[in-house]
Amino acid sequence: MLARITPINAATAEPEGQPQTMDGFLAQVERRAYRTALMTTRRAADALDIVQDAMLQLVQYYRTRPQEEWPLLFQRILNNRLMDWHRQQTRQRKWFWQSARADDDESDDPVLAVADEKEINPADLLARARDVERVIQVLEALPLRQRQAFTLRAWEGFDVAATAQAMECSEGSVKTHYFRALHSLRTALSDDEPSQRNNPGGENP
Amino acid sequence: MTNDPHQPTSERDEQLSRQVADSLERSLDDLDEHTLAQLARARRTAINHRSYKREWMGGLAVAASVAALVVVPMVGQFDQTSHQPDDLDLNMSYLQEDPQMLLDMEMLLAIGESDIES
Repeated sequence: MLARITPINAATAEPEGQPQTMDGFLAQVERRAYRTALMTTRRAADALDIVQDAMLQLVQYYRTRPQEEWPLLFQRILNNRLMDWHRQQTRQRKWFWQSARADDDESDDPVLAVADEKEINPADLLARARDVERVIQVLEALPLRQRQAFTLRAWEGFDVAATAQAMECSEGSVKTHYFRALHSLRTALSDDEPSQRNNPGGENP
Repeated sequence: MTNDPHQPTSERDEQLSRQVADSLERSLDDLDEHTLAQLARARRTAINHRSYKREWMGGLAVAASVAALVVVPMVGQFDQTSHQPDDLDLNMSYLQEDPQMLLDMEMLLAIGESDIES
């Protein structure tokens, strides 16, 4: 049974009690979906293809489902598409003998178990988090699963259970990915080094 | 920040998450018109895909209805004519000779001939 998610963007959501059309729903989520896809692909054409595929699949297979389930279904489709794209890119990199970074995030990284040594003024950290370009750079550099967990939890407003359904993993994995994403964000935003700012997670473009 | 991912996040982390999410939301305003137009086109494509399917299903339903209207009366006529062979089959089976009866008759004839000879 899929969890029912309240639309995040309340300003553009349909008035309470009125049925929402599929067109209205897609219009509401398309920009966030594109931004999410673009942070993974970093290519506008690929991001558009992925968003359109996700829209098509939602309309084709799930339009008869209750509209409360659409947000979660759409995010699950979108995340599956992004995972497929990511696997395809990894295979291509391996094919051309380039270093392919394992992004499963399931391995225990002892560095992440250590608390932040650098204490930064929280106000400064928040000020840096207001810089849109910098935030996107930091998020782009996160491993895919961390980025998915963070965007679903913090941006889409899903709870842990719904995020686990969208990512098709356990709730424990969601907590771990989210925790690591927060750690990486804090570390990257605390650091003023331009090289680290551009690629704090070390992910290859 | 705690070191256990299963512990609730601290207030500072929550503030950071909210601020980053807010920055992401503001980044949507930076999308250019061309991208927005492409997204709208992608959405229309997805929605129209459903319409095409519906039209196709509607056409299929009409074709099936017409076929049913044409075929059902023909099947009815075929059923009416197909009863006659059943009657013929019954007569044919009635006229069929029983081998045992033939043997009995042959035996009776032989007995009759022997009686005449004696």
